[in-house]
Amino acid sequence: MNGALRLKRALVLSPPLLWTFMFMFVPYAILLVYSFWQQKYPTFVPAFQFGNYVQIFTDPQYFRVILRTLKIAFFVSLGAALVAYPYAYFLVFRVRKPGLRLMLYMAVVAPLWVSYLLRAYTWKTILGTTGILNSFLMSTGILSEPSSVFLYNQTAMIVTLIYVFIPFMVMPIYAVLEKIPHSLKEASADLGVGRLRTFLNVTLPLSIPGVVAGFTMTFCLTFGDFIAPFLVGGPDGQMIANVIASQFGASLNWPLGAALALVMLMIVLSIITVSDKFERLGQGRFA
Amino acid sequence: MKRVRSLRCGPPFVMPERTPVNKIIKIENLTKTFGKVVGVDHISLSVEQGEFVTLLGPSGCGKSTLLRMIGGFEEPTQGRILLDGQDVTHVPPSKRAVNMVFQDYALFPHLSVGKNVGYGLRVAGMPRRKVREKALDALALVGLEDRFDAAPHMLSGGQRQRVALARAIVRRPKVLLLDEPLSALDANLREQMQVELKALHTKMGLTFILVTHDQTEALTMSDRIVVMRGGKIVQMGSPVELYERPATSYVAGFIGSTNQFRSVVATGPTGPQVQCFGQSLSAPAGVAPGQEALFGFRPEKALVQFGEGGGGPDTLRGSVADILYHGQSVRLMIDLGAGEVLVDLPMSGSGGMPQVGDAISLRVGADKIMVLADEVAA
Repeated sequence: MNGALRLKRALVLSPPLLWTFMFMFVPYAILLVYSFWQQKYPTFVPAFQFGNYVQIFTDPQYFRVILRTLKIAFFVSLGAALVAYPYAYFLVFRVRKPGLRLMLYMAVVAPLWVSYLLRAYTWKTILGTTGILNSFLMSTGILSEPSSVFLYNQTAMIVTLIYVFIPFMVMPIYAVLEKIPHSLKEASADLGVGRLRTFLNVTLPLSIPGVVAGFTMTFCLTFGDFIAPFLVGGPDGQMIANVIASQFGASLNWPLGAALALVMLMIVLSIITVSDKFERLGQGRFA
Repeated sequence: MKRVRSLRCGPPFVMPERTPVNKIIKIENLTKTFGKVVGVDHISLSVEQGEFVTLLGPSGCGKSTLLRMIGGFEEPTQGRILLDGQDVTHVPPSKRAVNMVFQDYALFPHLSVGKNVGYGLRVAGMPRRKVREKALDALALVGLEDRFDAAPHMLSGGQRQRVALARAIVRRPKVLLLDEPLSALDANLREQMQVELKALHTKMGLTFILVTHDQTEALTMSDRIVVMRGGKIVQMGSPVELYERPATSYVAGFIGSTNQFRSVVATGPTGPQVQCFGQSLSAPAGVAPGQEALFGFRPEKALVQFGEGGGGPDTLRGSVADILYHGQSVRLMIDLGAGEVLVDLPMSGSGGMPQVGDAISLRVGADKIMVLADEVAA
């Protein structure tokens, strides 16, 4: 490689590399350093010790929060998949007009352009005591007075997060369903297999990579969320990101917060690794 | 019609005994429109048990649509399809005793070769061992029993083609439909598969309906060729009939090459004559003096003689304008003055290679000239 080409390549590559270095590696390195520091009331001092990590894995309150966050992330992903799959299927295989299909697709994707906070806030107005759900139930006579059971609990969080993150489930499932050659379904029918069994034996197995991709994204996004608990979650609604935020805020325990953040990062990275392995299994199929 | 039933077929592939129904497929007045576009236009066609029929035509002529209607993948707008005497016009593909080999093979990418072939049987609830046995038998027929556990994407194009074939015959359909099955293969492999398909047809005694735009494929394999254009049947017949006696200029041009010329039949000293680019030839039988018609002759039917001297009656004189070397023969473009014709010169040894500009004479007997009907506006 001659010098000019090398220079050109370096020029092209350096901005993104620099960006990644400055805003990915440096912050993580700082976090890592902090995670070994020690709390010393009222602030913290440099040190090299594993006390923060020990605390995370021995103090049940942190473990419980991690477990709760995993549980909520799982239910949000599951719920999103159950809603998104039929929708994507309907769009790809039932809506014949391309214009209508695009419109219905955009109806799901477009809210991504609206502030996340606003979208989460919507559910506060739907589920609240003066909200749409309560007034509907009262007008139909099911309830005689507004109920507060809908808001400020884990179910409200799950519903809100499903709504917020569902585009990330619809997009990959839509993409994978659209890629399945129509002739495969015809071949299945040709071989004497009816529609339901064709779905179970051909369409569903071939679309699993899309479901896994959507599940991974929804799961990781929910795992790191701290706004839904803040807006619609109740006293038992704290998630791991809220705990981390408070360590960097009110508790003023940056070392513990950094350690928690790194543990969280590890969990997310392992989920992504596993799902990536899974997706690779399906590669080459349409070759 | 040919109806071969091989004794070599093992127990799983014994042809079911049946009362002889000659017409396995009967298509009546079948029409398919897509919006305002007419895909298939009032076609009636019968296919006999054990026959190898090819639907031939350029893309957009309706041949694939016709095949897909037989398979049940397109709902006819009008008309009926009878399969073995039963009306199946509105029967879904999963309930028709026909199977299709798809153009893109449509192998299930998530299933092994063996599972692909046994798919229909397995889902229908046949015991595992029996499915395996039948799938192996079908794969053996196409010579792929040793790739039972391979994934489809590990196979070559030709092998995938064979798997698709095995999958389509494993249930012993009454009719096997093949939608341009060889179009994705390279030339050598295509020729080899033509031979194998033909052999499989003979061996199994199944009825084959093949769709292709490749005239060589049609000529090599078929018992009968149906030439289509604009959703209609232009002509049907055996390969020899279509090649030797094409009804229209379209068929003459689509199957093989033909030198075509329009002429009024005149009375000459030795009988009726036609003018081929200004030179006289004896008119073929079936036309009367005074009649105007389209005539044609095949490039390989003209007897080529070098020099001006060759001659006598029914001879065209001209000079070599261009030479296309084909290996086993040479195609010459001959300038006749008022027009050009193509002739084939077999390279059978003795004769030297002509040069551009050489004088040449072509003897075209009246029996070599075909009368072509005027094209019905399509």
